[in-house]
Order: sequence, then structure tokens, then C-alpha cells
Amino acid sequence: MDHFNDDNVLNLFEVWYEQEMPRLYRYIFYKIRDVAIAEDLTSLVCEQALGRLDQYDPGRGEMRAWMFGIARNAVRSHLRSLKRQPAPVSLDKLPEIRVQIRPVEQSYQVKEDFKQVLDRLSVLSDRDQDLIALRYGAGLTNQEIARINGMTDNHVAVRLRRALRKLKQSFEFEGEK
Amino acid sequence: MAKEPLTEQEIHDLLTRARVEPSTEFKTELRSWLRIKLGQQLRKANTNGHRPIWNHTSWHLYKGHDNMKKITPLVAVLSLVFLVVVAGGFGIMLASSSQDEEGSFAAADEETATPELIEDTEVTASPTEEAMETPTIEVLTATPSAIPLFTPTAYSGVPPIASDQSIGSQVDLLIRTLHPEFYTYNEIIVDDDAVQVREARYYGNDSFVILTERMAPNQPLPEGEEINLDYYPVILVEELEGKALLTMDTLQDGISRPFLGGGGGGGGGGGPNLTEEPRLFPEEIEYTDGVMVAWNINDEQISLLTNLPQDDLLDIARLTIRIQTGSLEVGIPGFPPEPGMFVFEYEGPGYGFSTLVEDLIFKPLKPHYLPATLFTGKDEDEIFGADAIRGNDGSSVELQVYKVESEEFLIIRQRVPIIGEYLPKADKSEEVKVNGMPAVLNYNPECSLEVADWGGQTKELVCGTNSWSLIWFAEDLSLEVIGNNIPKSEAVLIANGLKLD
Repeated sequence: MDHFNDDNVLNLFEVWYEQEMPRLYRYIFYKIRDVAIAEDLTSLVCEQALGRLDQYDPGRGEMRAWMFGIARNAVRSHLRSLKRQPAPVSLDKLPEIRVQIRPVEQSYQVKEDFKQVLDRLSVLSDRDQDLIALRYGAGLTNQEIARINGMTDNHVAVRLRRALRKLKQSFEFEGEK
Repeated sequence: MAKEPLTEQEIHDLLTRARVEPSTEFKTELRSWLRIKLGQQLRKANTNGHRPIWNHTSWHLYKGHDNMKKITPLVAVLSLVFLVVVAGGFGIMLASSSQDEEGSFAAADEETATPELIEDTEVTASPTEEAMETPTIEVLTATPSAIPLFTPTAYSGVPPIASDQSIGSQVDLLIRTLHPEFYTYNEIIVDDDAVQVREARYYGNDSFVILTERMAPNQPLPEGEEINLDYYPVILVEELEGKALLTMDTLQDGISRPFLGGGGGGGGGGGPNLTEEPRLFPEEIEYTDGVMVAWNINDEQISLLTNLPQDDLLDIARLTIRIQTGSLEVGIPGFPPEPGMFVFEYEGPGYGFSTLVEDLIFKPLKPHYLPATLFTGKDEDEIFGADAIRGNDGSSVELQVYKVESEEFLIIRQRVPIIGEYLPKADKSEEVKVNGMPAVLNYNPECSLEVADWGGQTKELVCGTNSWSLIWFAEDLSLEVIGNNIPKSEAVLIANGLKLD
């Protein structure tokens, strides 16, 4: 069997694309909160990764970590060029939201609450936003996040808890106004 | 009735249950686009025969061969690994085989093949059935240690050798800039002696810098004047003339295109303007006052040729040597941060913090001693705050630890030094030593710290009469520790505790 034949590589690409591209997209959207820019950056990251496969060094980490390294740099460059936090999220500008909840009637409220949470991510430090985006956006495990960030699993869990608490407090703070 | 604020658990549930999805249209378009790009890569690989493959220890560019009879027997190949892109990422699927005790090569589940080596060029056999007919793959060296120093990318158009004032830098990074009017071209070739050569060409306006890396030890150096840069001998050649070829293979129709991102804002006029029309660029620059430096370090030779002033060239060379020898780190975009970038960590009594600062262009020192009083208090949650602030261009980082109520705070500031920088003295100061290095302890400096509480309210803590700042240079860094309402006896202890690891 020729592992290097073109069809095989294209098939493997399809597997990767279905599994990983949505993760990258969600991560980027959590950081940018703009559909059009998230799409642009996702395209950029995928294309860059494809073009730089020969630079990927498994000795330095998993492929997924490498991909998210590229994504983080792309997001950071973008935000740096804007020199500002992402704009508030508009519900009608959100991408498609899938909600695992029943009954369906509650889904609108969930989407509204979800938008509120996305809006409030800006109260977090950039690093905590990154953790939230990796955990809930990209759907990575604490262990994977720890490997990407060079942290311990426990540290990730602690920081995520603190980030959630900070989000909660921002809701409380808003309620007191 | 007003809705109750969300609880932590509700936020967690919400984030877990609801998720955004890329639109079907976007998925389809991107898939098509990427398949085209992938097809182009495969065709390119098939045409020029190079395909990057990982063999557990190093990257190789494999090149198919037609005639194995020309190749001499292999000396040492420990394993043959077939990498197929993907599996849990773009991933890697490995089928490996190993050398047996006699040294002959036995491929697992495949027919035996004969890997071979010619001089520095490692050659292995292909494991495929076809490879039994003409079963050789030439391996052109490219180990991880040979990851190029410079990796121009589409989103960071600023080479590490360029000054970065235009993206908001607070400090001069030693080099006069080619930014924003520079463009880069990069290529790897293999010369007649099978030495891998990488050329990075930076050019803009009428200036250019060509950096050439030759990945082989003890390469002959050109004739010229031997000088020292950062204690390393380099050869300087002056009054060169010729034409600098700025190959445009990657550009369309000889038209250069500005890189994405990397600019905007800042004091120097912003980065490349994406709205500008593409501009024509010369294919070569004729020069009559060229200067070049070349040196051998770490089994590779680097030469820099430019028509910039000699002082600029030497600055670039000095910085390049620092990068090459590891005394200065330049983040290579595309890789996750290394553990070394995990700079500040403290486990206090009952409450801990860790702060990550990524993508710094230098390796920050870590504090090993911090005053205990900063971390003691009644309410555990409100004992202290801590932040790490990274400078816009990664040339500075600041750790801040503070207690709002008592206005005690500590700032540890680290940055790339400015050329000609000296130890500044205030009206009231004394000379001290930090790890044997001269330092200046200034009293009552002007300083303040803006801190935020969890509700987003900010408060400015201002240095009072009980404040000090300690300034010194170490590890190619300019360092400053500022304390307010912290005993001055702590200053040198904190400074002495700043170490690389």
C-alpha cells in the first residue's frame, strides 16, 4: 500500500476537515465574535497549516496543539491590528447556534443567554478568554488545553473555574446597577 | 420581573450545550479551496519529488529515485517511518519498521528494502511494492534543529531583524526598519555539495538584506576583516558591488503583494495597507556600496549581505547571532508556546496564581522570591491581584502584584534594551549590586499602577514616599523592579531572585 498516494492524502484531509475545522472555527469565533472575520481567519489558519505542514514537528507537540498555535497567532495578530476588544455580539449576527436542550421552546432563551455570555467574555483577561475559547469553543479537554498552554490539568481547571466565577460576578455586577 | 443573574453552573451548562457552527456554505467553500491548495501541493511534490516526511527523529524531504543501483549501501538507519498526514489532527499515522541486529533493514509487513546513504545525504528505501522495482527515496536533510531562523508568514510581515516601531513598540529593537515598505521572499535550495541553503530576502524601497543560511559545519568564510560581534568572530567584507536578485517566484506577474496584518496603529505609520493597489517591485537591486558579514556558529554558516549602512548591518548581525546562540528568542509563528514561555507562577498561602505571557521575543526571567506580605491578608479571595502585561510587540513584559487596600504593589519590568541605554539615576539613589551586576536603587520614583477589580472598576495606585525602583541589566535584558509600600530591603532580594529557570 502506498501511504503517500494522492487519494489517500485527500481522504485523510477530509477526515481532518470534518473533525478539526469546526473546532478551529468555534475557537476563533469565541475570540473574535464576528462571523465574517472568524470565517476569514479560519480560512487563513487552514491554508497556513496546509502550507506549513513540513514545519510541523511532532517532537514539539501534537498536531492539534500546533494547529491551535497557528490559530492563536492569527487571532492575536488580528486583535493587535485592531487594537481593541471584539465588538459586542449581535444576536442576528451570530453563526448558527446548536443547542442541546429540550424542549425546543426554551432554545430562544438559551441563545439569548448564550449571546450574553459571549458578550461578557471581554471582562476576562485575554488568557482566560483563550481558555474559555479552547474549552467551550473548540471543545478541548482540560488535558489538551494544559498541553497546549504548558500548564497542568489542575491549573486549567482552577483557572476555568475562576473565569466562570468572574463571568458570574459580571452578571451580578450588572444586576446591581 | 428581572431575570436572576446566571450562576457559574448555568454559565458552564450554557457554554456546554450551546455552540456556534460554521455555516454550510462556508464549510463547502473552504473545503473546495483547501482541496485545490492541497492538490497544488501534491502536484508540486510529485513534480519536484520533495515530500516532507517525519521519521520520529527528524524531518526529511523525500525525493523519489529511479535507479537504486547508483546508490551505495546504507550505514545507519534505525527506523523507517511512513507518515501519512492525519489521525487526530492533520495527524500522523505511522507504520514503522526497524533495523535488525545485523544492520540490514527489515520493513514491518513489507518486503525488505535497502536504505542507503551518500555522504551527508541519507537515503532510504520506499516500503511500497513499487519501491521493490525502483525502491529508493532520497532524503534531503532538514532536522528540527535546522528550523530556519526566519519564518516570514502571511500574518506577521515583520521579520525579527526589523525594527518594530510601526506596530506600537515602546523601544527600539536595535535595528533600523525596512518596515512597512519591505517584502520578503524565502526559499530553500540544496547546492552541489548537498548542503541545504536557505535564503531569506528582505527588501523595500531601494534597500535589501539577504540572509543566507548554509546548514553545514565549517563552511569556508569569505576573505575580509575579522571583527567581533557579541564575542563571536565574524568576517566583514566592504565595498561590494553587484546586483541583488530578488526572485519573484511566489509573486504573481512580478507584482508584490503586501502581507496581511502585522501593522496598524502605533507611532511609525502603520503596517502594510491592504487597501493599496499592488505595486511593482524591481526584480533586482543594483548596489555599489554593499557590505557583508559571515560567520560559522552551531554547525551552520550565516551570511548577511545588504546595501544598508554598515552599522545597521552589524546591528542585524548582532541580533541574528543572539537568536542563533539562543540568548534571544524569537517566536516562530505557528508553534504553541514552549514551557519556557511560562513565566510567572506563584502558589500563595491558600490562593495561587500563574500567569502566562506568550510570544515574547526574549526569554523573561522568572521571579523566585517575592515578599510574603504581598500574599497575606484576611480574605483569601481579596488578598492580592496579579497580572502579566505583554508589550505590544513582545519586546517587553511586566508582572504586577498588588494589594488594593494597602496600596502595596510590586512591578517587575523586563524588556529588550535600547542601544546606548545606561543606568538612570534619580536625585536620591544609591549604587547596589544585583547578582554581582551594577544596579541603581532610586528612591521616590514617579510611578503608578492602574488595577481593576472583578467588576471592571479601575483604580490607580500611585507611588508614595515609601517607594523605590531598582534598575540593572542582565541576560541581555533591561530590568526594573518597582515597589510601593514594600520595604526597600526587599528590592535586592527580589532582583537577585530573578533567574532564567
